[in-house]
Amino acid sequence: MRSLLAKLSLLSLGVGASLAGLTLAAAMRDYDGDPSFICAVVDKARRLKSLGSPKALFIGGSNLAFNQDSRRLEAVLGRPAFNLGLHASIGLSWMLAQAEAHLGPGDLAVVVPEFEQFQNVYEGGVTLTQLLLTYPEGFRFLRSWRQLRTIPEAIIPRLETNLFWRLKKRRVLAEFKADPWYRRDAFDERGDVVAHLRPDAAGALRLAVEKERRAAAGRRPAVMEAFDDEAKAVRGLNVFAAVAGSRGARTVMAFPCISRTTFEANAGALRAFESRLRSELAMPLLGPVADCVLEPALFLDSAYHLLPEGRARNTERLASLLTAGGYALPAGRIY
Amino acid sequence: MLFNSIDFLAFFPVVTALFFALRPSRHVPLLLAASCVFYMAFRPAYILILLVTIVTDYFAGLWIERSLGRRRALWLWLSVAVNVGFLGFFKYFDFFNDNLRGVAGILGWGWPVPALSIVLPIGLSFHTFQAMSYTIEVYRGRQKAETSPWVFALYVLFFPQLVAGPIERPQNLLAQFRAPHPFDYRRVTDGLKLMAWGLFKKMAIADRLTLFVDQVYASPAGFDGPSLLLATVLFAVQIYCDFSGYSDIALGSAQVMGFRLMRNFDRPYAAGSLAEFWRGWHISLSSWLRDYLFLPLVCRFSDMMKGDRYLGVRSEHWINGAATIVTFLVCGLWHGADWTFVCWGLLHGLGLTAGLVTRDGRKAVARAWGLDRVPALRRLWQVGFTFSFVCVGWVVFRARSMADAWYILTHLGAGFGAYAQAEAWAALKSSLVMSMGGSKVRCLLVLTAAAALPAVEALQARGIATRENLANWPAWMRWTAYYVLAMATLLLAPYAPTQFIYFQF
Repeated sequence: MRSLLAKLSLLSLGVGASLAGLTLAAAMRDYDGDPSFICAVVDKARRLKSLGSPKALFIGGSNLAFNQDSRRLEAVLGRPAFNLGLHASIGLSWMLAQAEAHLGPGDLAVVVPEFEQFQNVYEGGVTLTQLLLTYPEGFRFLRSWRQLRTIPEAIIPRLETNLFWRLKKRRVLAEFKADPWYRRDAFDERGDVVAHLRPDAAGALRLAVEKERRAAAGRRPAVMEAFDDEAKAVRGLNVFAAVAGSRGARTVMAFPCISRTTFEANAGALRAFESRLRSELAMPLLGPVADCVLEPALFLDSAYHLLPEGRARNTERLASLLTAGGYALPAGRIY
Repeated sequence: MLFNSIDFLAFFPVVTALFFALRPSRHVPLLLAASCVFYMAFRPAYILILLVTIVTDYFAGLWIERSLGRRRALWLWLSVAVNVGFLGFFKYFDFFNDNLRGVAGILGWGWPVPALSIVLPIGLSFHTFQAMSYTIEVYRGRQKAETSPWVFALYVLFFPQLVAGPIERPQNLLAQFRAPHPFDYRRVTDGLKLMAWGLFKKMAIADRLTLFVDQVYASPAGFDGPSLLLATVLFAVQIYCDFSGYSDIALGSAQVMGFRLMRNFDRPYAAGSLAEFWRGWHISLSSWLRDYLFLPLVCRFSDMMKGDRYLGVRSEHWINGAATIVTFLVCGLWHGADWTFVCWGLLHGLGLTAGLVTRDGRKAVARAWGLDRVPALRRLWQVGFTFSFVCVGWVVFRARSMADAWYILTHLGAGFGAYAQAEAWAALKSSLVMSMGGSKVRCLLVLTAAAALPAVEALQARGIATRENLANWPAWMRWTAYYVLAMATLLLAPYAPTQFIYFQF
């Protein structure tokens, strides 16, 4: 039995060492020239560091990246606004930890999490792993071991990209140039995705909308019955609110936009979820969930990404909610 | 607790170490406690269902043995009623209720019974069938009633096969709980190898393929014929690797501790007929259905049909056909409370019946075409046809609804014309690579492993590349092979938590 245990330990050690070595090899690349969407985290982190207080930080996934005009919100709030939204599957826990590290007196943190953040879907996934290998500084924003579980999964694609990076750089760059908005340079200086607003993206936008309509025709609205990670997400939000409060920052949560078909399929579950949030959340919750409902025709290529018209409407919705909530700085306090 | 989870990675070595450290007389209490922990990791309160099943069947077994005449049947039916009652309540109540509500709606009647919407206890169908096989065997006099409630409880709860089988028979398992199981290096390492192989099939192949399959089956209307066809074939591979992988882990983990569980798979996709397929697919269920449903039905129908022929067809065909169709309807319903499963069962039942009825005719055609002179070609045709039929069944089994299944089946052949252009191939390749995690190398490795699997299993069936042979390799080669298998499993697997498909049944 001892000999078996010794052999198994040796094998485990070999496998562990190989995985560690491969992880290092996967992380060793200069991502400055990488055009992929997730690499925008590096640019966003750089910009975030340069912002002083007071500022308004918008925290969430790609619903934020696509759905708001931060310039407009900046004008309304009277302080620099920065959109941290990138990808929902990074997970709420990491997003909050990143924002928390940069909060100062007078700051406002507006959290707009996708509903899935309360559904035990995004706690540590491939996207987070890709992000960590791209932006190793992000390791300090991890809050659980579970967030690390997908590291081995990212190794092969990363090594593959690293190995062929020099050979295929030109082709990869060309491919990303062809992608209308899922690329690193799709963002503006406030962190909003704006590539799809540019006049030259009109054709691609039309094609994407047509493709989405076709796919939606055979698709049922997602059912959101089980908010089975709700307690944990709410706990995370409450801790975030407490830490922010101790630093003199304010926090507030808003719901993301949702299509009418999805809402109608889940109205009961969503209203019950909202009512639980109102009683459990240690930060104000803006507006009822029913106000976030938009017509399906205003959505682009996912359940959350809006077309330009939807983006404008959502921005105005957020602006009026934030103004009514008293989050705008008095005139003259502008940075 | 999932076999492919960190929890099990900690749980199993601890239980195994304790198992070998304790005296044999402590093995049953240890395994019983470990099995309770294993089951309660899913939903602790549901252990009460198992408790009721255990108490009922334990006493039913004793009373059946002590009783005579009709009383024996009474105790048996009581046990069956409790077991089937649980199954019916938890698994089928909402299904029948919804359908009755639909019928009432069509007739313009009100239907006041609300849906229960309760979470199905994991592995309910498996341990219910295993518990039932005990009382039936005691009733038939082929098994003595178990006197120790702890041993009987362990028979129902034994953690390696608790949630997805194999559905064991009392004759095989009960006696093993009383036998000593000292540490045996060869047996333990063989069990570990089987577990590693099962984990590879489950994590590296099944879980990776499911990413593409799920995407296609979630909205089939968004995909063309070749994509639907590819997803269907990959689902056939996925479900096999998922379930046979689970069975390998179950068999391996039991073997480490010295228990022999029944083999659940025997190269089902190499079958030349549906009957052969069912002799190799989920053997513990198909043999359960054969022994406790099909054969009694055949006897019952034979009593009812005394004549040689009915409507010009031999009565043996009527009897076998009717028994087969009923058995496979139950088999379909066993898999899930949905019309897709019922239709899947019906399809297999009809297929088997058609195979039986046309057997002589097919032989004559093969002779007339000279196919009997080239048995390899005939076999290839048979295997290809059987696999295609099974895949049609998998479409119905996997689809979210009968409407989706119908859409997929009627569009499998559509859109092939576009594949004259390279762009269509590139789009299919890109969709496959992207859905499987965005790495061409990994996608290629997984598909290669999936394609190589039949060859590996064919070699194993011929006694080559078996675990026993592996033990004769030089040490460095063996450990390199283990290292490669471990690394391949870890690097190819997706890490989002995925259940075994059969857990839901």
